[in-house]
Amino acid sequence: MSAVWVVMLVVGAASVAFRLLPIVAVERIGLSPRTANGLRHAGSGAVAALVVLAVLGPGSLRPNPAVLVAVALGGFLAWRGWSMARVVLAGGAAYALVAVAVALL
Amino acid sequence: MTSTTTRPAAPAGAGREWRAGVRAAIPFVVGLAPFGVTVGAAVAASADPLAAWTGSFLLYGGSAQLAVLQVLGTEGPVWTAILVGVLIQARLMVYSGSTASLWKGARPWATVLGAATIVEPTWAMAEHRMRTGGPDGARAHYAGAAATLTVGWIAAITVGALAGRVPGLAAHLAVAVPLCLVVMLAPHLRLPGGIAAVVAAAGTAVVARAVVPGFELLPAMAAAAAAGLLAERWRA
Repeated sequence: MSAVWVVMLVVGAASVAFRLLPIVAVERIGLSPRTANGLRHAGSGAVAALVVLAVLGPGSLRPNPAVLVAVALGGFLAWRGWSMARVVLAGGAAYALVAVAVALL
Repeated sequence: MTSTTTRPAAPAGAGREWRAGVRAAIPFVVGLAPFGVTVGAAVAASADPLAAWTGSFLLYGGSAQLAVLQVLGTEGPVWTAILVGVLIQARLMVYSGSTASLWKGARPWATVLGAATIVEPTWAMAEHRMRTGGPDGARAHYAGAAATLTVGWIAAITVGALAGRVPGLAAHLAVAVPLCLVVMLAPHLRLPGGIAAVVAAAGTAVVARAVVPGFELLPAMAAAAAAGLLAERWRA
Protein backbone atom coordinates (compact mmCIF):
# COMPACT_ATOMS: atom_id res chain seq x y z
CA MET A 1 0.00 0.00 0.00
CA SER A 2 1.45 3.36 -1.05
CA ALA A 3 1.94 6.32 1.30
CA VAL A 4 -0.82 8.16 -0.57
CA TRP A 5 -3.31 5.37 0.22
CA VAL A 6 -2.29 5.38 3.90
CA VAL A 7 -2.76 9.15 4.18
CA MET A 8 -6.09 9.16 2.34
CA LEU A 9 -7.50 6.29 4.42
CA VAL A 10 -6.40 7.72 7.78
CA VAL A 11 -7.48 11.30 7.02
CA GLY A 12 -10.69 9.93 5.46
CA ALA A 13 -11.49 8.00 8.64
CA ALA A 14 -10.81 11.10 10.74
CA SER A 15 -13.05 13.11 8.42
CA VAL A 16 -15.94 10.68 8.92
CA ALA A 17 -15.49 10.94 12.69
CA PHE A 18 -15.35 14.75 12.57
CA ARG A 19 -18.56 14.80 10.54
CA LEU A 20 -20.54 12.20 12.47
CA LEU A 21 -19.58 12.60 16.12
CA PRO A 22 -20.94 16.17 16.55
CA ILE A 23 -24.29 15.09 15.07
CA VAL A 24 -24.51 12.19 17.52
CA ALA A 25 -23.41 14.45 20.39
CA VAL A 26 -25.94 17.17 19.56
CA GLU A 27 -28.71 14.58 19.22
CA ARG A 28 -27.96 13.30 22.72
CA ILE A 29 -27.19 16.48 24.65
CA GLY A 30 -28.87 19.16 22.54
CA LEU A 31 -27.56 22.54 21.45
CA SER A 32 -28.38 25.84 23.11
CA PRO A 33 -29.07 28.84 20.83
CA ARG A 34 -25.90 30.51 22.10
CA THR A 35 -23.77 27.46 21.25
CA ALA A 36 -25.45 27.22 17.84
CA ASN A 37 -24.56 30.87 17.17
CA GLY A 38 -21.00 30.27 18.34
CA LEU A 39 -20.67 27.33 15.96
CA ARG A 40 -22.08 29.44 13.12
CA HIS A 41 -19.49 32.17 13.79
CA ALA A 42 -16.71 29.57 14.07
CA GLY A 43 -17.70 28.06 10.72
CA SER A 44 -17.57 31.43 9.02
CA GLY A 45 -14.28 32.06 10.80
CA ALA A 46 -12.82 28.97 9.16
CA VAL A 47 -13.98 30.20 5.74
CA ALA A 48 -12.51 33.67 6.43
CA ALA A 49 -9.21 32.11 7.50
CA LEU A 50 -9.10 30.01 4.31
CA VAL A 51 -9.59 33.20 2.27
CA VAL A 52 -6.75 34.94 4.11
CA LEU A 53 -4.44 31.94 3.68
CA ALA A 54 -5.25 31.77 -0.04
CA VAL A 55 -4.38 35.47 -0.42
CA LEU A 56 -1.11 35.01 1.47
CA GLY A 57 -0.11 31.89 -0.45
CA PRO A 58 1.72 28.85 0.94
CA GLY A 59 4.10 29.66 3.79
CA SER A 60 4.13 33.39 3.08
CA LEU A 61 3.15 36.52 5.01
CA ARG A 62 3.13 38.80 1.94
CA PRO A 63 -0.07 38.83 -0.07
CA ASN A 64 -0.02 38.04 -3.77
CA PRO A 65 -1.18 41.39 -5.29
CA ALA A 66 -3.18 39.77 -8.10
CA VAL A 67 -5.02 37.45 -5.70
CA LEU A 68 -5.55 40.31 -3.24
CA VAL A 69 -7.18 42.52 -5.89
CA ALA A 70 -9.30 39.63 -7.17
CA VAL A 71 -10.51 38.75 -3.67
CA ALA A 72 -11.20 42.40 -2.77
CA LEU A 73 -13.27 42.83 -5.92
CA GLY A 74 -14.95 39.44 -5.42
CA GLY A 75 -15.79 40.31 -1.81
CA PHE A 76 -17.38 43.59 -2.86
CA LEU A 77 -19.42 41.93 -5.60
CA ALA A 78 -20.49 39.10 -3.28
CA TRP A 79 -21.62 41.70 -0.74
CA ARG A 80 -23.68 43.30 -3.51
CA GLY A 81 -25.38 39.93 -4.06
CA TRP A 82 -23.67 38.70 -7.24
CA SER A 83 -23.83 34.94 -7.87
CA MET A 84 -20.80 32.73 -7.34
CA ALA A 85 -20.25 32.13 -11.06
CA ARG A 86 -20.27 35.88 -11.82
CA VAL A 87 -17.99 36.65 -8.87
CA VAL A 88 -15.49 34.00 -10.01
CA LEU A 89 -15.55 35.35 -13.59
CA ALA A 90 -15.11 38.99 -12.52
CA GLY A 91 -12.47 38.14 -9.92
CA GLY A 92 -10.64 35.91 -12.40
CA ALA A 93 -10.55 38.72 -14.94
CA ALA A 94 -9.18 41.12 -12.31
CA TYR A 95 -6.56 38.52 -11.33
CA ALA A 96 -5.47 38.10 -14.96
CA LEU A 97 -5.21 41.88 -15.51
CA VAL A 98 -3.15 42.49 -12.34
CA ALA A 99 -0.94 39.42 -12.98
CA VAL A 100 -0.16 40.65 -16.51
CA ALA A 101 0.48 44.20 -15.24
CA VAL A 102 2.83 42.95 -12.51
CA ALA A 103 4.69 40.78 -15.05
CA LEU A 104 5.12 43.74 -17.40
CA LEU A 105 6.42 46.08 -14.69
CA MET B 1 -48.03 -8.91 -1.13
CA THR B 2 -48.25 -5.95 1.17
CA SER B 3 -45.51 -4.78 3.44
CA THR B 4 -46.17 -4.89 7.15
CA THR B 5 -43.59 -2.23 7.98
CA THR B 6 -44.77 1.35 8.17
CA ARG B 7 -42.49 3.91 6.64
CA PRO B 8 -42.96 7.60 7.35
CA ALA B 9 -44.34 9.34 4.30
CA ALA B 10 -42.08 11.81 2.53
CA PRO B 11 -43.00 15.32 3.59
CA ALA B 12 -45.18 17.22 1.17
CA GLY B 13 -43.09 19.26 -1.24
CA ALA B 14 -39.94 17.16 -0.69
CA GLY B 15 -39.42 16.86 -4.44
CA ARG B 16 -39.79 20.60 -4.86
CA GLU B 17 -37.29 21.21 -2.05
CA TRP B 18 -34.87 18.70 -3.59
CA ARG B 19 -35.03 20.52 -6.93
CA ALA B 20 -34.57 23.84 -5.15
CA GLY B 21 -31.43 22.39 -3.55
CA VAL B 22 -30.16 21.35 -6.98
CA ARG B 23 -30.74 24.88 -8.30
CA ALA B 24 -29.03 26.41 -5.26
CA ALA B 25 -25.95 24.22 -5.79
CA ILE B 26 -25.42 24.94 -9.49
CA PRO B 27 -23.67 28.32 -8.98
CA PHE B 28 -21.41 26.63 -6.43
CA VAL B 29 -20.57 23.85 -8.90
CA VAL B 30 -19.70 26.39 -11.60
CA GLY B 31 -17.70 28.55 -9.21
CA LEU B 32 -15.87 25.65 -7.59
CA ALA B 33 -15.04 23.92 -10.90
CA PRO B 34 -11.67 25.70 -11.28
CA PHE B 35 -10.78 24.66 -7.72
CA GLY B 36 -11.74 21.08 -8.56
CA VAL B 37 -9.52 21.20 -11.64
CA THR B 38 -6.71 22.52 -9.43
CA VAL B 39 -7.13 19.58 -7.06
CA GLY B 40 -7.27 17.29 -10.10
CA ALA B 41 -3.95 18.65 -11.33
CA ALA B 42 -2.43 17.77 -7.95
CA VAL B 43 -4.01 14.31 -8.21
CA ALA B 44 -2.39 13.80 -11.61
CA ALA B 45 0.99 14.85 -10.26
CA SER B 46 0.73 12.49 -7.27
CA ALA B 47 2.87 9.37 -6.91
CA ASP B 48 -0.34 7.30 -6.78
CA PRO B 49 -3.05 9.07 -8.82
CA LEU B 50 -5.72 6.43 -8.11
CA ALA B 51 -5.28 6.76 -4.34
CA ALA B 52 -5.16 10.55 -4.65
CA TRP B 53 -8.37 10.56 -6.73
CA THR B 54 -10.13 8.23 -4.26
CA GLY B 55 -9.31 10.82 -1.63
CA SER B 56 -11.93 13.03 -3.32
CA PHE B 57 -14.59 10.76 -1.81
CA LEU B 58 -12.79 9.85 1.40
CA LEU B 59 -11.86 13.39 2.41
CA TYR B 60 -14.55 15.31 0.49
CA GLY B 61 -12.67 18.53 1.15
CA GLY B 62 -10.57 20.24 -1.50
CA SER B 63 -8.32 22.22 0.84
CA ALA B 64 -7.36 19.13 2.86
CA GLN B 65 -6.87 16.97 -0.24
CA LEU B 66 -4.70 19.62 -1.88
CA ALA B 67 -2.67 20.18 1.29
CA VAL B 68 -1.90 16.50 1.90
CA LEU B 69 -0.96 15.99 -1.75
CA GLN B 70 1.35 19.01 -1.56
CA VAL B 71 3.04 17.63 1.57
CA LEU B 72 3.44 14.20 -0.04
CA GLY B 73 4.66 15.84 -3.27
CA THR B 74 7.52 17.50 -1.41
CA GLU B 75 8.61 14.09 -0.07
CA GLY B 76 7.31 15.09 3.37
CA PRO B 77 6.85 12.33 5.95
CA VAL B 78 3.54 10.45 5.96
CA TRP B 79 2.71 11.49 9.52
CA THR B 80 3.12 15.17 8.57
CA ALA B 81 0.65 14.76 5.72
CA ILE B 82 -1.77 12.98 8.07
CA LEU B 83 -1.43 15.69 10.72
CA VAL B 84 -1.99 18.47 8.16
CA GLY B 85 -5.04 16.70 6.76
CA VAL B 86 -6.54 15.98 10.19
CA LEU B 87 -5.99 19.56 11.37
CA ILE B 88 -7.66 21.01 8.29
CA GLN B 89 -10.57 18.57 8.48
CA ALA B 90 -11.11 19.27 12.20
CA ARG B 91 -13.10 22.36 11.17
CA LEU B 92 -15.81 20.02 9.89
CA MET B 93 -16.87 19.35 13.50
CA VAL B 94 -18.18 22.89 13.65
CA TYR B 95 -20.14 22.61 10.40
CA SER B 96 -21.48 19.23 11.44
CA GLY B 97 -22.56 20.40 14.90
CA SER B 98 -24.11 23.52 13.40
CA THR B 99 -26.29 21.55 10.97
CA ALA B 100 -27.11 18.67 13.36
CA SER B 101 -30.78 19.70 13.58
CA LEU B 102 -31.16 18.70 9.92
CA TRP B 103 -30.79 15.03 10.84
CA LYS B 104 -33.19 14.94 13.78
CA GLY B 105 -35.34 11.82 13.31
CA ALA B 106 -33.58 10.80 10.09
CA ARG B 107 -32.71 7.19 9.35
CA PRO B 108 -29.11 6.25 10.23
CA TRP B 109 -28.08 5.74 6.59
CA ALA B 110 -29.44 9.17 5.67
CA THR B 111 -27.56 10.76 8.55
CA VAL B 112 -24.31 9.04 7.56
CA LEU B 113 -24.74 9.99 3.90
CA GLY B 114 -25.62 13.56 4.76
CA ALA B 115 -22.78 13.90 7.24
CA ALA B 116 -20.31 12.56 4.67
CA THR B 117 -21.05 15.56 2.42
CA ILE B 118 -20.76 18.31 5.03
CA VAL B 119 -18.26 20.86 3.81
CA GLU B 120 -18.21 24.67 3.36
CA PRO B 121 -20.61 24.95 0.37
CA THR B 122 -23.18 22.45 1.69
CA TRP B 123 -22.97 24.04 5.13
CA ALA B 124 -23.45 27.51 3.65
CA MET B 125 -26.47 26.34 1.64
CA ALA B 126 -27.99 24.50 4.62
CA GLU B 127 -27.48 27.52 6.87
CA HIS B 128 -29.10 29.83 4.33
CA ARG B 129 -32.01 27.46 3.72
CA MET B 130 -32.73 26.94 7.43
CA ARG B 131 -32.48 30.67 8.13
CA THR B 132 -34.77 31.72 5.30
CA GLY B 133 -37.14 28.74 4.89
CA GLY B 134 -37.38 27.11 8.29
CA PRO B 135 -36.82 23.46 9.13
CA ASP B 136 -39.59 21.95 6.96
CA GLY B 137 -38.10 20.45 3.81
CA ALA B 138 -34.58 21.55 4.76
CA ARG B 139 -33.30 17.96 4.62
CA ALA B 140 -34.62 17.38 1.09
CA HIS B 141 -33.10 20.71 0.06
CA TYR B 142 -29.77 19.62 1.52
CA ALA B 143 -29.96 16.25 -0.28
CA GLY B 144 -30.49 17.92 -3.67
CA ALA B 145 -27.72 20.43 -3.05
CA ALA B 146 -25.22 17.84 -1.78
CA ALA B 147 -25.92 15.41 -4.64
CA THR B 148 -25.40 18.13 -7.25
CA LEU B 149 -22.28 19.43 -5.60
CA THR B 150 -20.80 15.93 -5.31
CA VAL B 151 -21.37 15.10 -8.98
CA GLY B 152 -19.93 18.46 -10.11
CA TRP B 153 -17.01 18.33 -7.70
CA ILE B 154 -15.90 14.80 -8.63
CA ALA B 155 -16.32 15.62 -12.34
CA ALA B 156 -14.12 18.72 -12.01
CA ILE B 157 -11.42 16.77 -10.16
CA THR B 158 -11.53 14.03 -12.79
CA VAL B 159 -11.19 16.56 -15.62
CA GLY B 160 -8.29 18.18 -13.79
CA ALA B 161 -6.64 14.81 -13.23
CA LEU B 162 -6.93 13.95 -16.93
CA ALA B 163 -5.87 17.35 -18.30
CA GLY B 164 -4.14 18.94 -15.36
CA ARG B 165 -0.52 18.57 -16.35
CA VAL B 166 -0.50 21.92 -18.14
CA PRO B 167 2.38 23.86 -16.51
CA GLY B 168 1.20 26.74 -14.30
CA LEU B 169 -2.49 25.96 -14.84
CA ALA B 170 -3.15 24.91 -11.27
CA ALA B 171 -1.46 27.98 -9.78
CA HIS B 172 -3.60 30.35 -11.84
CA LEU B 173 -6.86 28.45 -11.37
CA ALA B 174 -6.31 28.46 -7.62
CA VAL B 175 -7.56 32.06 -7.49
CA ALA B 176 -11.08 30.62 -7.83
CA VAL B 177 -10.81 29.15 -4.32
CA PRO B 178 -10.86 32.40 -2.31
CA LEU B 179 -13.41 33.86 -4.74
CA CYS B 180 -15.82 30.98 -4.03
CA LEU B 181 -15.15 31.32 -0.31
CA VAL B 182 -15.93 35.06 -0.16
CA VAL B 183 -19.30 34.37 -1.79
CA MET B 184 -20.04 31.85 0.98
CA LEU B 185 -18.89 34.38 3.57
CA ALA B 186 -20.96 37.35 2.39
CA PRO B 187 -24.33 36.31 3.94
CA HIS B 188 -22.70 35.82 7.34
CA LEU B 189 -21.55 39.45 7.37
CA ARG B 190 -25.19 40.54 7.55
CA LEU B 191 -25.87 38.50 10.72
CA PRO B 192 -25.50 39.98 14.22
CA GLY B 193 -21.84 39.62 15.18
CA GLY B 194 -20.94 38.39 11.71
CA ILE B 195 -18.54 41.20 10.82
CA ALA B 196 -16.75 40.93 14.18
CA ALA B 197 -16.39 37.16 13.73
CA VAL B 198 -14.95 37.44 10.22
CA VAL B 199 -12.54 40.27 11.11
CA ALA B 200 -11.33 38.38 14.20
CA ALA B 201 -10.80 35.20 12.20
CA ALA B 202 -8.89 37.00 9.44
CA GLY B 203 -6.63 38.80 11.92
CA THR B 204 -6.01 35.63 13.92
CA ALA B 205 -5.16 33.70 10.75
CA VAL B 206 -2.48 36.27 9.84
CA VAL B 207 -1.00 36.23 13.36
CA ALA B 208 -1.14 32.42 13.49
CA ARG B 209 0.63 32.22 10.11
CA ALA B 210 3.49 34.23 11.61
CA VAL B 211 3.59 32.42 14.96
CA VAL B 212 2.48 28.84 14.24
CA PRO B 213 2.45 28.35 10.45
CA GLY B 214 0.28 25.43 9.40
CA PHE B 215 -1.96 25.77 12.45
CA GLU B 216 -4.06 28.77 11.47
CA LEU B 217 -7.58 27.40 11.14
CA LEU B 218 -8.46 26.31 14.66
CA PRO B 219 -7.32 29.54 16.41
CA ALA B 220 -9.16 31.56 13.75
CA MET B 221 -12.36 29.59 14.40
CA ALA B 222 -12.07 30.09 18.16
CA ALA B 223 -11.48 33.82 17.70
CA ALA B 224 -14.47 34.10 15.36
CA ALA B 225 -16.80 32.34 17.81
CA ALA B 226 -15.64 34.51 20.72
CA ALA B 227 -15.77 37.80 18.79
CA GLY B 228 -19.12 37.00 17.18
CA LEU B 229 -20.77 36.11 20.49
CA LEU B 230 -19.27 39.18 22.22
CA ALA B 231 -20.53 41.45 19.43
CA GLU B 232 -23.99 39.88 19.66
CA ARG B 233 -24.09 40.46 23.41
CA TRP B 234 -22.86 44.04 22.99
CA ARG B 235 -25.58 44.74 20.40
CA ALA B 236 -28.24 43.21 22.63
